[in-house]
Amino acid sequence: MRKKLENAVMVPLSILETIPSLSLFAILLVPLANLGKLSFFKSIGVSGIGWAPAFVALTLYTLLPIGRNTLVGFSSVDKNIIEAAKGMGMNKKEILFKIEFPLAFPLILTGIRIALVQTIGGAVLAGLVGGGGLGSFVFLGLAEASPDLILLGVIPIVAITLLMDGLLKAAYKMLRRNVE
Amino acid sequence: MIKLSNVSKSYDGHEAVKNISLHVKKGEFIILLGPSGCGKSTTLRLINKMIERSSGEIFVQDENIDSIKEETLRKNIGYVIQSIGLFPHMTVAMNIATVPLLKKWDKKRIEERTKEMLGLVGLSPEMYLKKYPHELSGGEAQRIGVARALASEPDILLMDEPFGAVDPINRVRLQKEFKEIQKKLHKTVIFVTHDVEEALFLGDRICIMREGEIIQVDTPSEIVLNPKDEFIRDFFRGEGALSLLGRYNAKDFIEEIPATGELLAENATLKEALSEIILRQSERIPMKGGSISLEAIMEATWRGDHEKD
Amino acid sequence: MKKINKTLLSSIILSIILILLLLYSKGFEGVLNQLFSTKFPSGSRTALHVLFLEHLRMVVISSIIAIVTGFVLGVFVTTKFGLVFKDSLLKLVNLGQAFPSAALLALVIPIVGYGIEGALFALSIYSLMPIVYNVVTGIEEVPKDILEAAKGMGMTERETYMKVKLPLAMNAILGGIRTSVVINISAATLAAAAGAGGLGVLVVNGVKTFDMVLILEGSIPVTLLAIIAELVLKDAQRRIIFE
Repeated sequence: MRKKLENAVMVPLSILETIPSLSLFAILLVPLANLGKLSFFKSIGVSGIGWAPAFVALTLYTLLPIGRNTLVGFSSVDKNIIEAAKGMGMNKKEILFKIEFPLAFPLILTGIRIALVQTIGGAVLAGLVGGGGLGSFVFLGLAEASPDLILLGVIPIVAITLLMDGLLKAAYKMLRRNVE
Repeated sequence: MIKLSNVSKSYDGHEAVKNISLHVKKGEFIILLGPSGCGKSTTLRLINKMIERSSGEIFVQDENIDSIKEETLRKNIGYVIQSIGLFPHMTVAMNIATVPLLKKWDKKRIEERTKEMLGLVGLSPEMYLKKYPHELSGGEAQRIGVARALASEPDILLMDEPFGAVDPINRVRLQKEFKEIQKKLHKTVIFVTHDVEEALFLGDRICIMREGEIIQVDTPSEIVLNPKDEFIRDFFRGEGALSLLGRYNAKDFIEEIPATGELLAENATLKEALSEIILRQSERIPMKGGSISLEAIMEATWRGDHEKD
Repeated sequence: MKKINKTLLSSIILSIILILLLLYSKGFEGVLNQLFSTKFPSGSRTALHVLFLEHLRMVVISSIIAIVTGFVLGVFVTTKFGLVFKDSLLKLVNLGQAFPSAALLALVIPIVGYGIEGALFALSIYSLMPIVYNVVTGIEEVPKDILEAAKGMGMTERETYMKVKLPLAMNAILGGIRTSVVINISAATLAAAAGAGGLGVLVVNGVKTFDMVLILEGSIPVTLLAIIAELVLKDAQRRIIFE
């Protein structure tokens, strides 16, 4: 049963991943533009341009690394440990929170790190669809064949990426030390 | 055949092997015996240059191993380790044929040799040639490991606790079979173990090591009957003489004196004979050709390996 | 009798769909026009199959470069000489893997220049990462006792690689190639923004003019191509490992 659920979730997410990021952004443009005509969505700023398409696309993209790593994290917990916990009298909820989750956490954290780095970089595409951000410099520079503009956008993005990646890696290492 | 002169090996200040000297004769089956960490495995691996020694000289077949390229040296020495290390992506046949293939023997010779090796270790070629390692049991895998080591016709075999991971029943069987193989082929074997029974059963000579040093090198009976120090005496846990009994065949000590009762099996060891004597509460048991007595057993043990020469 | 399984079957079906779309691109466009009425129905200026072939060419060339370079680098870094570089290379690769293609492209273009060369360079580097990573981990995961036995038998380093390390690492390596090709196909859409052509041209133009038809016309073939590549390579991987 779990296998079916696993497939039902992972397969669509995997397909999502094969869609080029640019395409995903682009495909959302028109529907969001239409959605933006409705007053509720208009009020929170949903439209074909602006933050909405980038936001939705980036969120969808984070689903895969986090989802997959969470899955792998939980399935990597040694069955013997769970067996021992059951034998001690723990119920399902206790096992989930006291055993499985802490042991799976490092992998989940890695998934979050990947998703974060992926998003910071992916946000560059927001510049193409009017979502602002450093990506605007990049695409402006690409359009006008102006390398300095491109770099003006890219270098800060790379810097932030490296920073966040480093921070989360350090957090991961500290966590591992505690688990061990 | 193999000579170690004042060989030492240090790791980061820790002396694993301290100034040892050993001479192994051609065709000899010598055991390196000792507790964990005594340096026996290290010593073994110094011989085929798996580890580089810190000082001293090692000669294999009268050549200083420094003058031989390591890969050449190893291709001519059989090496069997406890976990065997069979290549999972190759069939049994390909595994056994590894070194012959590297040495570029011709196909026919390799094929025949592979079948010969399987027969030698007691496995039928038709059944086993095409199997993959994951399909083998522990005992079968160990046999293939030995077959693989012997395939390229090395004169020397280095074995590091090869039967350690096998269940007790199979282990005894493997020991007996291997002793036969060595007797038949006259290979020079250096065998590492921490199992006293195994050592006493297999070896022509036993080299006892402790903390990187050689304490005593002698025939099994010499070591049991005349241990050099307390440590060795303790090593045999007071059962040394009993363990020694497994070495000898009862039929070598038969007297032509009749006795009553069921015949003892022809291939029984002195250990099995003693066990029967105790079970039957009789000091003399009949065997084909005569009988074996308690007194004969005691004398045989006392005279030890000198009988054999 | 070659066994055709689910994976191969799906990839064949999808390939047929893709080929049909390419051959009858006008009709494809027409259908899209019906579904998504746009303000200014602007047909694509270049024929779909031309852009597709451009895209394919970019992917094939950069993938070949990536596979060869990645393989050589990965193997090198596990040998005696290259071991010193292993950690730094892996750190670099790990970082690069999380980098979306956009950022990488934007980083490379100013240095290498616009057009197809720049894009090929960027795509090659981008596709390199999974291959290096998988080659290294694949080789390192070979059990130590098997390597001990191989060394003890007298295998030279080269013999060990050819007979033991590489065959046993093959599954990981092929997996790496698969990942590499698939992400390459997706990343190549962005190359259009740097003037390199390919199906991305349709998407970029579609974004500029808010034309859903163009966007879909570009995105659907690319996605189909990526899925087909994933399925075909997964099947090939399975076949090679089981021989």
